[in-house]
Amino acid sequence: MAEHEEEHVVSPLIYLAVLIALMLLLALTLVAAFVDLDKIMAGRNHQGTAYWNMTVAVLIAMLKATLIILFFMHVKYQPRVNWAFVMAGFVWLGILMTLSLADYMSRNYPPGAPKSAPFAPSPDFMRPPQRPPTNVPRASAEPAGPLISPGHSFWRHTDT
Amino acid sequence: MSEHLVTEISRSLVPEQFEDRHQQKESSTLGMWTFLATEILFFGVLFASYTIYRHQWPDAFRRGSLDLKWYLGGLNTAVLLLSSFCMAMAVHAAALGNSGKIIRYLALTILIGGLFLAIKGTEYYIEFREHLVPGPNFRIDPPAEEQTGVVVGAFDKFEKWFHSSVLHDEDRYEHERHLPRPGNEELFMLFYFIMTAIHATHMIIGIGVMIVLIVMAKRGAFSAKYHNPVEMFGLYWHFVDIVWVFLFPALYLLRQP
Repeated sequence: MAEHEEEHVVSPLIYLAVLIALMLLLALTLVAAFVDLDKIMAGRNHQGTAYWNMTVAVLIAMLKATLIILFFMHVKYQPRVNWAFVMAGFVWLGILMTLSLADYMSRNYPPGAPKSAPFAPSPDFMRPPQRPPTNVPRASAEPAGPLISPGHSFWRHTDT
Repeated sequence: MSEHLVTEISRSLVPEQFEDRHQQKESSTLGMWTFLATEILFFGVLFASYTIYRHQWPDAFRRGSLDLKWYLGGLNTAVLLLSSFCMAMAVHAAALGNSGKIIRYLALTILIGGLFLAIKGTEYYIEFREHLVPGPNFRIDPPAEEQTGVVVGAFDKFEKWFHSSVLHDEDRYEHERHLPRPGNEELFMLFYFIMTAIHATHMIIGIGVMIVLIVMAKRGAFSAKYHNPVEMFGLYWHFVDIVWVFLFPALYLLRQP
């Protein structure tokens, strides 16, 4: 093993500077949330979600998290193998998010394409429909249809 | 007497699987970060499913966010950042081997963490009175002001003042808050309660560990040479802070249509 340096003691002044920076970023988050950034950036996206507000909020949160990780958690002063472990968690989270969202965000795209099946429960998802009586034989009663129909519900019971 | 001697010696020695105390510390740090990576993915799936459902029901999520108290969430963010700073100072005191300072900063961190939980509890109370808790408590129609009690009324008054004097949009505010809630707001509130409750559980566990650390520091377990438990716990506490940094804009700040 290589010889180790003496432990790096971070000055409290750096902690104080990071705290002030974090508080300023918090104020910036609040200001950015109350301003309609989509209007400023011209053109909302077709979903009607606050696209730019979300982007800015996430970017500021990432900046805050980076400050905390580098200085409060001392990663800046640690060997590269620790950097790799720190990155690993976030990289895998990135893969999880990207691959999940690649599907959901690209449904109904391009705009003219035929509608695909809904992927989320309908607005009344908490109130399941009445369960059909179980004493009626259902083998031939239900015509074979697509596995996920537009009326699909999480509570659709398929007795076997 | 001999027992006392044995513990004194064992504290000053590095366990035999480590080359020296620096390597011991590096192993601890690496192990802690491995644990935190599992925590990242634990909270990560919640954020991923949150994003998917928010994409599907933007209006319900926005309304749910408008029904939360953004200023209490913002105050809690500031409180938690402050507690993180105190934790960093406790780790700093540990690196200098100052046990008295460790105890004082840890106690301060517990105090500020408790303040966070108190504000969170107030929010839960408000949401219960406003019939926002998913399940039998949830109502599509927002309750009238005289039904929600004195505490919620005080917050309503503050909000009214804020919208009339600062934002100058009291008409829109009054109009929107009396509209019936979209059915899927319940879904948003489900995300809100599960995510904040898991986060609060992490904080309660953290406060428990800090009490143990204070007892250990009182017994003289930490020195400038050995203070790994304080430093590793610091990583945990800062991680909980990071989770909140992402939770706050995701839950409280979906204000724009």
